[in-house]
Amino acid sequence: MATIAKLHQIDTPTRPRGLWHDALRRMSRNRAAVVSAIFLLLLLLAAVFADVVAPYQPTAADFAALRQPPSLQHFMGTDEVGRDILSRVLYGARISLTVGFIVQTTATVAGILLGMVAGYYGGMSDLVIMRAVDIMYALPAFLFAVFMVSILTPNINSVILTLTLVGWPFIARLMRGQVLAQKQEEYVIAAQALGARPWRIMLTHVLPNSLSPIIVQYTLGIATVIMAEAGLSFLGIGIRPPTPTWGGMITKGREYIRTEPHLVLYPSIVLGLTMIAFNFLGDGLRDALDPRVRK
Amino acid sequence: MTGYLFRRIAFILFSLIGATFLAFAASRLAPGDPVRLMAGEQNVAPEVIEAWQVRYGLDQPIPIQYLYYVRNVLQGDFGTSYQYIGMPVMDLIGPAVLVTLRWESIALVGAILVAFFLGMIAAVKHNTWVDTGAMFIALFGISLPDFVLATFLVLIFALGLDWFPVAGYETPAHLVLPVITLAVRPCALISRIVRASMLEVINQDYMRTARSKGLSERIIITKHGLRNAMLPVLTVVGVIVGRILAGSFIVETIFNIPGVGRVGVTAVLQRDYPVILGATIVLATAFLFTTLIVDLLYGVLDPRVRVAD
Repeated sequence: MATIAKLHQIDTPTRPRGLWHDALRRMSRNRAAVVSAIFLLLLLLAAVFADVVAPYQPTAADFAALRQPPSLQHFMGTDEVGRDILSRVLYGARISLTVGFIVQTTATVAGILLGMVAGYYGGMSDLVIMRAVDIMYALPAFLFAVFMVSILTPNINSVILTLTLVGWPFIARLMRGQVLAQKQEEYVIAAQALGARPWRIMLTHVLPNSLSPIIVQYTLGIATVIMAEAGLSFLGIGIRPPTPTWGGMITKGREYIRTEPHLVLYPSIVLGLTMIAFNFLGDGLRDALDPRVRK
Repeated sequence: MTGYLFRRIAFILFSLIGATFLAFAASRLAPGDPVRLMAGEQNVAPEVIEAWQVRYGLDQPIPIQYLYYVRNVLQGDFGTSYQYIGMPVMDLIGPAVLVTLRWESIALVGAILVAFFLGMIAAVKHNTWVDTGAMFIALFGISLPDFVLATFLVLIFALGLDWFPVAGYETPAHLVLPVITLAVRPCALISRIVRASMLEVINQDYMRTARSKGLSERIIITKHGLRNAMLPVLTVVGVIVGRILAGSFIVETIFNIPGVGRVGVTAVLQRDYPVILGATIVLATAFLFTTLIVDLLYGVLDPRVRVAD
């Protein structure tokens, strides 16, 4: 016994590190990903506390200050009816992030569940779910979104519904692949042999082992959703004015691009930075979570 | 190969029917009865409306209506516009499709060429500043939405430097900014995949064999490396074409190009459902057709796909 205890001591000089601990350490060495995470955190806080942070009401017109260039009163200037652009950008962040998180969370949960059903049970359920996925893949996503929103009433709910419909097939396909691969693994077979029910196996064994690619897709997917929302608003068929959306601000601002470019410039910069941050973060997560690049 | 071919064509047909039925059903469920919309402000007797509904088959269940619609579409008849009464949808979409095909194919080919160049250089100079720099730029390119990129391009190259016109579709110069706008994201995406697949190929045995035979590095990379690295790229080209087609909505609107995307957006704003449906079906068909071509090319380039039957 004493020898075993001793061996045990020698074998584990340090505490074993888990996947997440490892991943976090690798992430912290990726400067672009860290900067992106900090930027997104600040943006999220600014969006949540927009009431406190924003210097003006986002819909408060001031006809005495139309299209003012950036100044100390208005850091990003004012728009075509004298509204403070910074305040509108902050409230716009609220819309963008809300849509991004709600859509991507719903689509991911739906995709995970449907992918599990298709992968684990196979047969008829697999056939039906995967053919639905195929049909969704047959329509370019943004095309379908434009089409759906044009049929529904243009408001935030239809945008969320439409983008969720577009988003789930990707996750479902990913999850199904994970289930199919892991079904053959010994730990799943062992759990089956012990009499564990399918959903228990899926939720406690398969899902935790599939989290890495799903987290990466979740992060990148938020960027896609925000971009699609902004695109719909940009085309004037998404969320309607006077609700401040980045896409809507960019469309309106483009009318003054020759004379007062700041109207279009600042919302564009913030949207661009947000997209870049989500993509760098997603990329960083992929590198950090992918066992193949581990050294 | 025949089995593979047959399966792919069956799959594409299934997807096409599914997608067009989905679009058709959704457009029929849209608010507003087509006949009433066509009647507009005029006071039309209810009997007349009913007669019209029978005439257009609108009293039938949606699947039957869909079959009628498909029959007409196969004869080149997409119905008539609600907005421009009596104007065949085909007359609106037809010329626009040609415009879109013309300018977007330039963007697609350009994106692929530049992407191969960037991706190969990054792979050959793996882990140097060239590689890091190229991939950093690529990630930037993937991130920027079309309309943000377009805004910056117009501000710098059209308004600032005055090199290219702001918008329009007349001279080749008009196409420079829209082509760049549309090409950047696909290019960035493809170049990342080219790099990854080249890196995978570069250490394979046949590459070492080629090197030991004394072949020049250029021949090794282009002849042995590139051909094998092309396969993963081919699979994403279909996806890329889909994005490019969908991107025509935004880019054609920004640069005022009279393509199918701009026609579609105008129709959406006017709630002109037959035109929206027509544009959707044309774009989805183009997309699926590309997918089919990619599948077939894949079968030709990779003998393993054929043997798998």
